[in-house]
Amino acid sequence: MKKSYPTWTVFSTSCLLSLPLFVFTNMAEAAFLGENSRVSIDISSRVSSNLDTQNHAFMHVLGIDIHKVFSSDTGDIGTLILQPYVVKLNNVNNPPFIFDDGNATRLTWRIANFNYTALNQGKFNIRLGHFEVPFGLEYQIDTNGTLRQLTAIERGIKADWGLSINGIMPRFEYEVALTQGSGAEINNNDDSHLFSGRIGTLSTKNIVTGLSWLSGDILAANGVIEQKKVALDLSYYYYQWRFMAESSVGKKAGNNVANGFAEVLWRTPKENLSIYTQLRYQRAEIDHNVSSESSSTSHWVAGVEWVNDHGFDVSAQYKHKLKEMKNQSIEPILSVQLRYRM
Amino acid sequence: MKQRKLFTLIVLMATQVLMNSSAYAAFCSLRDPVSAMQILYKDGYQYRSIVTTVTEQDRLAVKEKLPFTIHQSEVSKHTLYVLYKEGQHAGFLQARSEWAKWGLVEIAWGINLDRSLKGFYFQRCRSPECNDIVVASINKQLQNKSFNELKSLLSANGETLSEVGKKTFKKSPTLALLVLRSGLKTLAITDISWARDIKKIEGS
Repeated sequence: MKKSYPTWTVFSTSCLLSLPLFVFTNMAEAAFLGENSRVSIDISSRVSSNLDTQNHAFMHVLGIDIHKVFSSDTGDIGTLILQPYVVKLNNVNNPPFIFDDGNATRLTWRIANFNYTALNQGKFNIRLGHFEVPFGLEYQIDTNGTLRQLTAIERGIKADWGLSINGIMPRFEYEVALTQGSGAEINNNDDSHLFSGRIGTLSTKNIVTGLSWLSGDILAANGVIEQKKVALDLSYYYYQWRFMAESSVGKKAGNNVANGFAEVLWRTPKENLSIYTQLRYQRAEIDHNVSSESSSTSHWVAGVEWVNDHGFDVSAQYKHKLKEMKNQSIEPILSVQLRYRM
Repeated sequence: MKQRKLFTLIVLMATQVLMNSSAYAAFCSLRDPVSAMQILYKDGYQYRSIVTTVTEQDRLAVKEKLPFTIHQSEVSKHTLYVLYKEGQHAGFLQARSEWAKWGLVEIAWGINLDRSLKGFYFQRCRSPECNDIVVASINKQLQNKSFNELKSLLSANGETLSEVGKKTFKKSPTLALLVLRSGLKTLAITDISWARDIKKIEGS
Protein backbone atom coordinates (compact mmCIF):
# COMPACT_ATOMS: atom_id res chain seq x y z
CA MET A 1 0.00 0.00 0.00
CA LYS A 2 1.36 3.38 -0.96
CA LYS A 3 1.75 5.74 1.92
CA SER A 4 2.39 9.47 1.64
CA TYR A 5 3.27 11.98 4.32
CA PRO A 6 2.23 15.64 4.49
CA THR A 7 4.99 17.81 3.07
CA TRP A 8 5.23 19.93 6.21
CA THR A 9 5.74 16.80 8.35
CA VAL A 10 8.66 15.61 6.26
CA PHE A 11 10.07 19.11 5.96
CA SER A 12 9.97 19.62 9.75
CA THR A 13 11.64 16.20 10.21
CA SER A 14 14.30 17.30 7.75
CA CYS A 15 14.76 20.51 9.72
CA LEU A 16 15.16 18.47 12.92
CA LEU A 17 17.72 16.22 11.23
CA SER A 18 19.52 19.19 9.80
CA LEU A 19 20.28 20.70 13.22
CA PRO A 20 22.83 18.02 14.24
CA LEU A 21 23.90 17.96 10.59
CA PHE A 22 24.55 21.69 10.75
CA VAL A 23 26.74 21.24 13.84
CA PHE A 24 28.51 18.32 12.13
CA THR A 25 29.18 20.26 8.94
CA ASN A 26 30.58 23.22 10.85
CA MET A 27 32.89 20.87 12.74
CA ALA A 28 33.80 19.08 9.51
CA GLU A 29 34.51 22.39 7.80
CA ALA A 30 36.84 23.47 10.58
CA ALA A 31 38.52 20.19 11.45
CA PHE A 32 38.49 18.02 8.35
CA LEU A 33 38.07 20.22 5.31
CA GLY A 34 40.26 23.02 6.62
CA GLU A 35 40.90 26.26 4.78
CA ASN A 36 39.31 27.25 1.48
CA SER A 37 36.22 25.16 2.10
CA ARG A 38 32.50 25.82 2.04
CA VAL A 39 29.78 23.59 3.45
CA SER A 40 26.04 24.00 3.16
CA ILE A 41 22.96 21.94 3.98
CA ASP A 42 20.19 21.71 1.44
CA ILE A 43 16.64 20.61 2.34
CA SER A 44 13.66 20.52 0.06
CA SER A 45 10.20 19.07 -0.28
CA ARG A 46 8.25 18.92 -3.50
CA VAL A 47 4.72 17.94 -4.40
CA SER A 48 3.71 17.23 -8.00
CA SER A 49 -0.02 16.95 -8.58
CA ASN A 50 -1.61 15.42 -11.64
CA LEU A 51 -4.62 17.67 -12.13
CA ASP A 52 -6.48 15.02 -14.17
CA THR A 53 -6.13 12.08 -11.81
CA GLN A 54 -5.65 14.10 -8.59
CA ASN A 55 -2.60 11.97 -7.76
CA HIS A 56 -0.11 13.76 -5.52
CA ALA A 57 3.51 12.64 -5.69
CA PHE A 58 6.08 13.80 -3.15
CA MET A 59 9.86 14.05 -3.18
CA HIS A 60 11.82 15.00 -0.08
CA VAL A 61 15.53 15.73 -0.23
CA LEU A 62 18.19 16.30 2.40
CA GLY A 63 21.80 16.78 1.36
CA ILE A 64 25.19 18.33 2.01
CA ASP A 65 27.01 20.54 -0.44
CA ILE A 66 30.79 20.64 0.04
CA HIS A 67 33.24 22.80 -1.92
CA LYS A 68 36.96 22.78 -1.24
CA VAL A 69 39.86 24.32 -3.12
CA PHE A 70 43.22 22.60 -2.67
CA SER A 71 46.20 24.93 -3.09
CA SER A 72 49.97 24.92 -2.99
CA ASP A 73 52.00 27.96 -1.87
CA THR A 74 51.79 29.62 -5.28
CA GLY A 75 48.72 28.21 -6.99
CA ASP A 76 45.48 26.27 -6.82
CA ILE A 77 45.75 22.55 -7.45
CA GLY A 78 42.08 21.77 -7.92
CA THR A 79 38.52 21.98 -6.69
CA LEU A 80 36.57 19.22 -4.97
CA ILE A 81 32.77 19.29 -5.01
CA LEU A 82 30.77 16.67 -3.09
CA GLN A 83 26.98 16.69 -2.99
CA PRO A 84 25.55 13.54 -1.35
CA TYR A 85 21.76 13.74 -1.10
CA VAL A 86 19.21 11.42 0.48
CA VAL A 87 16.08 11.37 -1.64
CA LYS A 88 12.76 10.01 -0.33
CA LEU A 89 9.90 9.43 -2.74
CA ASN A 90 6.27 9.13 -1.73
CA ASN A 91 3.47 7.98 -3.99
CA VAL A 92 5.38 8.56 -7.24
CA ASN A 93 3.75 6.72 -10.15
CA ASN A 94 6.67 6.63 -12.56
CA PRO A 95 9.79 6.99 -10.45
CA PRO A 96 13.23 7.41 -12.04
CA PHE A 97 14.60 3.92 -12.74
CA ILE A 98 17.33 4.27 -10.11
CA PHE A 99 14.62 3.98 -7.42
CA ASP A 100 13.16 0.58 -6.52
CA ASP A 101 9.63 1.95 -6.41
CA GLY A 102 7.59 5.12 -5.95
CA ASN A 103 8.08 5.10 -2.17
CA ALA A 104 11.79 4.34 -2.10
CA THR A 105 14.60 6.14 -0.27
CA ARG A 106 18.03 6.33 -1.77
CA LEU A 107 21.40 8.06 -1.45
CA THR A 108 22.29 9.90 -4.65
CA TRP A 109 25.26 11.97 -5.71
CA ARG A 110 24.26 15.13 -7.54
CA ILE A 111 27.79 16.31 -8.22
CA ALA A 112 30.94 14.61 -6.90
CA ASN A 113 34.14 15.45 -8.72
CA PHE A 114 37.63 16.82 -8.52
CA ASN A 115 38.68 19.33 -11.15
CA TYR A 116 42.47 19.50 -11.49
CA THR A 117 43.16 23.15 -12.37
CA ALA A 118 46.93 23.50 -11.88
CA LEU A 119 47.97 22.97 -15.50
CA ASN A 120 47.46 26.23 -17.38
CA GLN A 121 45.64 29.16 -15.73
CA GLY A 122 42.22 27.52 -16.13
CA LYS A 123 42.69 26.92 -19.85
CA PHE A 124 43.17 23.18 -19.53
CA ASN A 125 41.71 21.31 -16.56
CA ILE A 126 41.02 17.63 -15.95
CA ARG A 127 37.85 16.62 -14.13
CA LEU A 128 37.23 13.20 -12.60
CA GLY A 129 34.04 11.99 -10.94
CA HIS A 130 30.33 12.69 -11.29
CA PHE A 131 29.56 15.88 -13.21
CA GLU A 132 27.00 17.38 -15.58
CA VAL A 133 27.19 15.98 -19.09
CA PRO A 134 28.49 18.91 -21.18
CA PHE A 135 25.65 19.37 -23.62
CA GLY A 136 23.51 22.37 -24.55
CA LEU A 137 22.10 24.94 -22.15
CA GLU A 138 22.64 22.68 -19.12
CA TYR A 139 26.37 23.44 -19.36
CA GLN A 140 26.00 27.04 -18.22
CA ILE A 141 22.88 27.01 -16.03
CA ASP A 142 22.65 25.19 -12.70
CA THR A 143 19.30 23.40 -12.40
CA ASN A 144 20.23 20.83 -9.75
CA GLY A 145 17.41 20.58 -7.23
CA THR A 146 15.18 23.15 -8.90
CA LEU A 147 11.72 22.67 -10.38
CA ARG A 148 12.84 24.51 -13.47
CA GLN A 149 14.63 22.12 -15.79
CA LEU A 150 16.11 22.56 -19.24
CA THR A 151 16.77 19.82 -21.81
CA ALA A 152 18.50 16.97 -19.92
CA ILE A 153 15.21 15.06 -19.67
CA GLU A 154 15.19 14.62 -23.46
CA ARG A 155 18.46 12.72 -23.29
CA GLY A 156 17.63 10.79 -20.12
CA ILE A 157 20.91 11.74 -18.51
CA LYS A 158 21.95 14.88 -16.67
CA ALA A 159 25.13 14.00 -14.78
CA ASP A 160 27.43 11.05 -15.29
CA TRP A 161 30.55 9.36 -13.86
CA GLY A 162 33.72 9.75 -15.87
CA LEU A 163 36.51 12.03 -17.00
CA SER A 164 36.56 15.34 -18.83
CA ILE A 165 38.94 17.96 -20.07
CA ASN A 166 37.64 21.50 -19.70
CA GLY A 167 38.76 25.07 -19.72
CA ILE A 168 38.20 28.71 -20.47
CA MET A 169 40.15 30.29 -23.29
CA PRO A 170 40.23 34.06 -24.01
CA ARG A 171 37.39 33.74 -26.54
CA PHE A 172 35.65 30.42 -25.86
CA GLU A 173 34.91 27.75 -23.25
CA TYR A 174 34.92 24.01 -23.70
CA GLU A 175 34.37 20.69 -21.98
CA VAL A 176 34.80 17.28 -23.59
CA ALA A 177 33.86 14.20 -21.56
CA LEU A 178 34.14 10.45 -21.68
CA THR A 179 31.71 8.98 -19.17
CA GLN A 180 29.98 5.74 -18.21
CA GLY A 181 26.57 6.61 -19.64
CA SER A 182 25.06 5.28 -16.42
CA GLY A 183 23.86 8.58 -14.88
CA ALA A 184 23.55 8.30 -11.12
CA GLU A 185 24.66 4.65 -11.06
CA ILE A 186 28.34 4.38 -10.21
CA ASN A 187 28.39 0.59 -10.82
CA ASN A 188 28.23 0.17 -14.55
CA ASN A 189 27.20 -3.45 -15.12
CA ASP A 190 25.67 -2.71 -18.52
CA ASP A 191 27.66 -1.86 -21.58
CA SER A 192 26.89 1.84 -21.46
CA HIS A 193 29.28 4.65 -22.34
CA LEU A 194 29.03 8.25 -23.51
CA PHE A 195 31.22 10.68 -25.39
CA SER A 196 29.96 14.28 -25.12
CA GLY A 197 31.16 17.83 -25.39
CA ARG A 198 30.34 21.46 -25.83
CA ILE A 199 32.32 24.36 -27.27
CA GLY A 200 30.80 27.77 -26.72
CA THR A 201 31.45 31.47 -26.47
CA LEU A 202 32.23 32.99 -23.06
CA SER A 203 29.35 32.60 -20.59
CA THR A 204 30.23 35.97 -19.03
CA LYS A 205 28.88 37.80 -22.08
CA ASN A 206 25.28 38.80 -22.83
CA ILE A 207 25.08 36.69 -25.96
CA VAL A 208 26.25 33.11 -25.50
CA THR A 209 26.16 30.38 -28.09
CA GLY A 210 27.45 26.83 -28.14
CA LEU A 211 27.79 23.69 -30.22
CA SER A 212 27.34 20.34 -28.46
CA TRP A 213 27.52 16.70 -29.37
CA LEU A 214 26.79 13.41 -27.70
CA SER A 215 27.29 9.83 -28.80
CA GLY A 216 26.95 6.57 -26.88
CA ASP A 217 24.78 4.02 -25.16
CA ILE A 218 22.91 5.51 -22.23
CA LEU A 219 21.53 3.42 -19.38
CA ALA A 220 17.73 3.51 -19.12
CA ALA A 221 15.03 1.52 -17.31
CA ASN A 222 15.10 -1.37 -19.80
CA GLY A 223 18.81 -1.55 -20.61
CA VAL A 224 20.89 0.79 -22.73
CA ILE A 225 19.65 3.08 -25.51
CA GLU A 226 21.94 4.20 -28.30
CA GLN A 227 21.90 7.98 -28.83
CA LYS A 228 23.68 10.33 -31.19
CA LYS A 229 22.95 14.06 -31.11
CA VAL A 230 24.27 17.45 -32.09
CA ALA A 231 22.82 20.68 -30.73
CA LEU A 232 23.07 24.42 -31.02
CA ASP A 233 22.20 26.61 -28.05
CA LEU A 234 21.78 30.35 -27.74
CA SER A 235 21.25 32.62 -24.73
CA TYR A 236 20.59 36.33 -24.81
CA TYR A 237 20.46 38.57 -21.75
CA TYR A 238 18.80 41.97 -21.86
CA TYR A 239 18.44 43.81 -18.55
CA GLN A 240 16.04 41.66 -16.47
CA TRP A 241 15.18 39.33 -19.35
CA ARG A 242 16.79 36.11 -20.44
CA PHE A 243 15.97 34.36 -23.70
CA MET A 244 17.28 30.86 -24.30
CA ALA A 245 16.87 28.32 -27.06
CA GLU A 246 18.31 24.94 -27.92
CA SER A 247 17.79 22.82 -30.99
CA SER A 248 19.12 19.31 -31.49
CA VAL A 249 18.94 16.57 -34.10
CA GLY A 250 20.11 12.99 -33.96
CA LYS A 251 19.14 9.38 -33.43
CA LYS A 252 17.66 7.61 -30.44
CA ALA A 253 17.43 3.81 -30.56
CA GLY A 254 17.84 4.00 -34.34
CA ASN A 255 14.99 6.50 -34.83
CA ASN A 256 15.61 10.00 -36.13
CA VAL A 257 14.79 12.60 -33.47
CA ALA A 258 14.63 16.40 -33.49
CA ASN A 259 14.12 18.54 -30.38
CA GLY A 260 13.42 22.21 -29.85
CA PHE A 261 13.40 24.17 -26.61
CA ALA A 262 12.81 27.86 -25.90
CA GLU A 263 12.54 29.77 -22.65
CA VAL A 264 11.83 33.35 -21.65
CA LEU A 265 12.65 34.36 -18.09
CA TRP A 266 12.09 37.65 -16.29
CA ARG A 267 13.30 38.54 -12.84
CA THR A 268 12.92 41.48 -10.51
CA PRO A 269 15.91 43.84 -10.15
CA LYS A 270 16.70 42.30 -6.74
CA GLU A 271 16.53 38.88 -8.43
CA ASN A 272 14.43 37.41 -5.63
CA LEU A 273 11.50 36.67 -7.94
CA SER A 274 11.74 34.93 -11.33
CA ILE A 275 8.94 34.15 -13.75
CA TYR A 276 9.52 31.93 -16.77
CA THR A 277 7.80 30.09 -19.52
CA GLN A 278 9.15 27.26 -21.67
CA LEU A 279 8.11 25.61 -24.89
CA ARG A 280 9.27 22.10 -25.79
CA TYR A 281 8.90 20.27 -29.05
CA GLN A 282 9.99 16.84 -30.18
CA ARG A 283 9.61 15.05 -33.49
CA ALA A 284 10.64 11.38 -33.67
CA GLU A 285 10.30 8.43 -35.98
CA ILE A 286 7.98 5.82 -34.51
CA ASP A 287 9.96 2.80 -35.72
CA HIS A 288 12.70 3.37 -38.28
CA ASN A 289 12.82 -0.36 -39.16
CA VAL A 290 9.17 -0.37 -40.24
CA SER A 291 8.73 2.99 -41.93
CA SER A 292 9.89 6.58 -41.82
CA GLU A 293 6.58 7.68 -40.25
CA SER A 294 7.12 10.13 -37.44
CA SER A 295 5.08 11.76 -34.72
CA SER A 296 5.51 14.96 -32.76
CA THR A 297 4.79 16.12 -29.25
CA SER A 298 4.92 19.51 -27.57
CA HIS A 299 4.05 21.11 -24.27
CA TRP A 300 4.52 24.36 -22.39
CA VAL A 301 5.67 25.10 -18.88
CA ALA A 302 5.15 28.20 -16.77
CA GLY A 303 6.84 28.74 -13.44
CA VAL A 304 7.71 31.14 -10.68
CA GLU A 305 10.52 31.09 -8.15
CA TRP A 306 10.92 33.25 -5.07
CA VAL A 307 14.12 33.30 -3.00
CA ASN A 308 14.75 35.31 0.13
CA ASP A 309 17.92 36.62 1.77
CA HIS A 310 17.91 33.83 4.35
CA GLY A 311 18.16 30.84 2.03
CA PHE A 312 14.47 30.01 1.51
CA ASP A 313 13.34 29.21 -1.98
CA VAL A 314 9.70 28.67 -2.91
CA SER A 315 8.84 27.70 -6.45
CA ALA A 316 5.83 26.55 -8.42
CA GLN A 317 5.52 25.25 -11.95
CA TYR A 318 2.71 24.10 -14.23
CA LYS A 319 3.11 21.85 -17.28
CA HIS A 320 0.45 21.50 -19.95
CA LYS A 321 0.29 19.62 -23.26
CA LEU A 322 0.01 21.21 -26.66
CA LYS A 323 0.24 18.06 -28.74
CA GLU A 324 0.63 14.43 -27.73
CA MET A 325 2.57 11.73 -29.50
CA LYS A 326 0.96 8.37 -30.31
CA ASN A 327 0.81 6.13 -27.22
CA GLN A 328 2.34 8.81 -25.03
CA SER A 329 0.26 11.16 -22.94
CA ILE A 330 1.36 14.40 -21.32
CA GLU A 331 -0.38 14.93 -17.98
CA PRO A 332 -1.12 18.40 -16.63
CA ILE A 333 1.23 18.63 -13.66
CA LEU A 334 1.31 21.34 -11.02
CA SER A 335 4.45 21.22 -8.86
CA VAL A 336 5.32 23.22 -5.77
CA GLN A 337 8.65 23.11 -3.96
CA LEU A 338 9.94 24.52 -0.70
CA ARG A 339 13.72 24.56 -0.39
CA TYR A 340 16.08 25.83 2.25
CA ARG A 341 19.87 26.14 2.14
CA MET A 342 21.95 27.09 5.15
CA MET B 1 -2.21 19.34 18.10
CA LYS B 2 -1.79 20.54 14.54
CA GLN B 3 -1.15 24.07 15.75
CA ARG B 4 1.56 22.85 18.11
CA LYS B 5 3.32 20.99 15.29
CA LEU B 6 3.12 24.02 13.07
CA PHE B 7 4.51 26.19 15.85
CA THR B 8 7.39 23.74 16.37
CA LEU B 9 8.14 23.85 12.66
CA ILE B 10 8.15 27.65 12.58
CA VAL B 11 10.41 27.85 15.66
CA LEU B 12 12.82 25.39 14.05
CA MET B 13 12.93 27.30 10.81
CA ALA B 14 13.40 30.64 12.60
CA THR B 15 16.24 29.18 14.68
CA GLN B 16 17.98 28.09 11.54
CA VAL B 17 17.45 31.39 9.79
CA LEU B 18 19.19 33.09 12.69
CA MET B 19 22.23 30.87 12.23
CA ASN B 20 24.94 32.11 9.95
CA SER B 21 23.82 31.25 6.44
CA SER B 22 26.64 31.02 4.00
CA ALA B 23 25.38 29.79 0.69
CA TYR B 24 22.13 30.08 -1.20
CA ALA B 25 23.38 28.97 -4.60
CA ALA B 26 24.69 25.44 -5.07
CA PHE B 27 28.48 25.34 -5.00
CA CYS B 28 28.66 23.58 -8.36
CA SER B 29 27.71 26.95 -9.86
CA LEU B 30 30.86 28.60 -8.40
CA ARG B 31 33.43 29.28 -11.08
CA ASP B 32 36.85 30.84 -10.87
CA PRO B 33 37.08 34.23 -12.63
CA VAL B 34 39.38 32.75 -15.27
CA SER B 35 38.29 35.09 -18.09
CA ALA B 36 38.94 38.11 -15.87
CA MET B 37 42.43 36.86 -15.02
CA GLN B 38 43.24 36.26 -18.67
CA ILE B 39 42.07 39.77 -19.61
CA LEU B 40 43.56 41.65 -16.65
CA TYR B 41 46.78 39.69 -16.11
CA LYS B 42 47.39 38.11 -19.53
CA ASP B 43 49.47 34.92 -19.75
CA GLY B 44 52.06 33.36 -17.49
CA TYR B 45 50.23 33.78 -14.21
CA GLN B 46 49.11 31.21 -11.66
CA TYR B 47 46.39 31.90 -9.11
CA ARG B 48 45.77 30.76 -5.58
CA SER B 49 42.43 31.03 -3.77
CA ILE B 50 42.13 32.35 -0.25
CA VAL B 51 38.61 31.85 1.08
CA THR B 52 37.66 33.89 4.12
CA THR B 53 34.51 34.79 6.00
CA VAL B 54 33.54 38.43 5.63
CA THR B 55 31.97 39.24 8.99
CA GLU B 56 29.49 41.81 10.26
CA GLN B 57 32.44 43.53 11.98
CA ASP B 58 34.19 43.78 8.60
CA ARG B 59 31.03 45.30 7.16
CA LEU B 60 31.05 47.95 9.89
CA ALA B 61 34.78 48.57 9.35
CA VAL B 62 34.11 49.38 5.68
CA LYS B 63 31.59 51.98 6.87
CA GLU B 64 34.42 53.70 8.75
CA LYS B 65 36.42 54.06 5.54
CA LEU B 66 33.56 54.91 3.20
CA PRO B 67 30.17 56.65 3.40
CA PHE B 68 28.57 53.30 2.45
CA THR B 69 29.28 49.64 3.02
CA ILE B 70 28.71 46.17 1.59
CA HIS B 71 25.25 44.61 1.60
CA GLN B 72 24.25 42.44 4.55
CA SER B 73 23.87 39.45 2.23
CA GLU B 74 27.61 39.71 1.51
CA VAL B 75 28.40 38.73 5.08
CA SER B 76 29.49 35.23 4.10
CA LYS B 77 32.43 33.40 2.55
CA HIS B 78 34.33 35.10 -0.26
CA THR B 79 37.45 34.33 -2.26
CA LEU B 80 40.47 36.52 -2.87
CA TYR B 81 42.69 35.24 -5.69
CA VAL B 82 46.42 35.87 -5.35
CA LEU B 83 48.24 36.04 -8.69
CA TYR B 84 51.76 34.65 -8.99
CA LYS B 85 54.28 35.02 -11.77
CA GLU B 86 57.44 32.92 -11.71
CA GLY B 87 56.76 32.06 -8.09
CA GLN B 88 56.44 35.69 -6.96
CA HIS B 89 53.14 37.27 -5.94
CA ALA B 90 52.13 39.80 -8.53
CA GLY B 91 48.69 41.04 -7.57
CA PHE B 92 45.21 40.13 -6.43
CA LEU B 93 41.82 39.56 -7.97
CA GLN B 94 38.42 39.65 -6.34
CA ALA B 95 34.93 39.38 -7.79
CA ARG B 96 32.18 41.47 -6.21
CA SER B 97 28.49 41.90 -6.84
CA GLU B 98 26.62 45.20 -7.11
CA TRP B 99 22.93 45.90 -7.50
CA ALA B 100 21.95 47.88 -10.57
CA LYS B 101 18.40 48.89 -11.43
CA TRP B 102 18.23 45.93 -13.84
CA GLY B 103 19.73 43.32 -11.49
CA LEU B 104 22.99 41.93 -10.24
CA VAL B 105 26.28 43.09 -11.75
CA GLU B 106 29.38 40.99 -11.08
CA ILE B 107 32.67 42.81 -11.38
CA ALA B 108 36.09 41.14 -11.14
CA TRP B 109 38.73 43.54 -9.85
CA GLY B 110 42.45 43.29 -10.49
CA ILE B 111 44.40 44.84 -7.61
CA ASN B 112 48.07 45.83 -7.72
CA LEU B 113 50.49 44.91 -4.93
CA ASP B 114 50.35 48.51 -3.59
CA ARG B 115 46.54 48.07 -3.41
CA SER B 116 45.82 50.45 -6.25
CA LEU B 117 43.38 49.24 -8.92
CA LYS B 118 44.73 47.35 -11.90
CA GLY B 119 41.41 47.26 -13.70
CA PHE B 120 38.06 45.51 -13.87
CA TYR B 121 36.17 43.00 -15.98
CA PHE B 122 32.40 42.53 -16.11
CA GLN B 123 31.71 38.89 -15.29
CA ARG B 124 28.06 39.65 -15.61
CA CYS B 125 26.32 42.86 -16.60
CA ARG B 126 23.01 42.49 -18.40
CA SER B 127 22.84 46.01 -19.77
CA PRO B 128 23.94 46.62 -23.38
CA GLU B 129 25.79 49.64 -21.95
CA CYS B 130 28.36 47.26 -20.45
CA ASN B 131 30.18 46.87 -23.73
CA ASP B 132 33.91 46.73 -24.41
CA ILE B 133 34.15 50.42 -25.41
CA VAL B 134 32.54 51.67 -22.19
CA VAL B 135 34.57 49.20 -20.09
CA ALA B 136 37.82 50.43 -21.70
CA SER B 137 36.82 54.05 -21.14
CA ILE B 138 36.05 53.58 -17.41
CA ASN B 139 39.06 51.29 -16.92
CA LYS B 140 41.37 53.95 -18.34
CA GLN B 141 40.29 56.41 -15.64
CA LEU B 142 40.51 53.93 -12.75
CA GLN B 143 43.77 52.17 -13.55
CA ASN B 144 46.54 52.47 -10.97
CA LYS B 145 44.51 54.85 -8.79
CA SER B 146 44.81 54.45 -5.02
CA PHE B 147 41.92 54.26 -2.56
CA ASN B 148 42.12 57.97 -1.71
CA GLU B 149 42.41 59.03 -5.36
CA LEU B 150 39.33 56.99 -6.17
CA LYS B 151 37.44 58.35 -3.19
CA SER B 152 38.03 61.89 -4.44
CA LEU B 153 35.94 61.03 -7.51
CA LEU B 154 32.88 60.55 -5.28
CA SER B 155 30.74 63.11 -3.50
CA ALA B 156 30.93 63.32 0.30
CA ASN B 157 27.90 61.09 0.82
CA GLY B 158 29.09 58.64 -1.86
CA GLU B 159 25.78 58.74 -3.71
CA THR B 160 26.97 60.74 -6.73
CA LEU B 161 30.14 61.62 -8.57
CA SER B 162 32.11 64.62 -7.28
CA GLU B 163 32.79 67.56 -9.61
CA VAL B 164 36.14 65.95 -10.48
CA GLY B 165 34.38 62.63 -10.99
CA LYS B 166 31.84 64.19 -13.35
CA LYS B 167 34.65 65.61 -15.47
CA THR B 168 36.48 62.26 -15.38
CA PHE B 169 33.49 60.14 -16.39
CA LYS B 170 31.74 62.09 -19.11
CA LYS B 171 30.79 58.84 -20.81
CA SER B 172 28.29 56.56 -18.98
CA PRO B 173 28.44 58.40 -15.61
CA THR B 174 25.78 56.21 -13.94
CA LEU B 175 27.60 53.00 -14.78
CA ALA B 176 30.91 54.62 -13.82
CA LEU B 177 29.46 55.51 -10.40
CA LEU B 178 28.39 51.90 -9.84
CA VAL B 179 31.82 50.63 -10.87
CA LEU B 180 33.65 53.24 -8.76
CA ARG B 181 31.67 52.38 -5.61
CA SER B 182 32.37 48.69 -6.25
CA GLY B 183 36.10 49.36 -6.67
CA LEU B 184 36.27 51.29 -3.40
CA LYS B 185 34.38 48.60 -1.51
CA THR B 186 36.67 45.96 -2.99
CA LEU B 187 39.84 47.75 -1.89
CA ALA B 188 38.40 48.39 1.58
CA ILE B 189 37.14 44.84 2.20
CA THR B 190 40.36 43.31 0.83
CA ASP B 191 42.44 45.23 3.35
CA ILE B 192 40.02 44.45 6.18
CA SER B 193 38.95 40.84 5.65
CA TRP B 194 42.19 39.46 4.22
CA ALA B 195 44.58 41.59 6.33
CA ARG B 196 46.26 38.61 7.97
CA ASP B 197 46.62 36.69 4.70
CA ILE B 198 48.08 39.67 2.84
CA LYS B 199 50.54 40.34 5.65
CA LYS B 200 51.66 36.71 5.47
CA ILE B 201 52.06 36.86 1.68
CA GLU B 202 53.99 40.13 1.83
CA GLY B 203 56.22 38.75 4.56
CA SER B 204 57.13 35.63 2.62
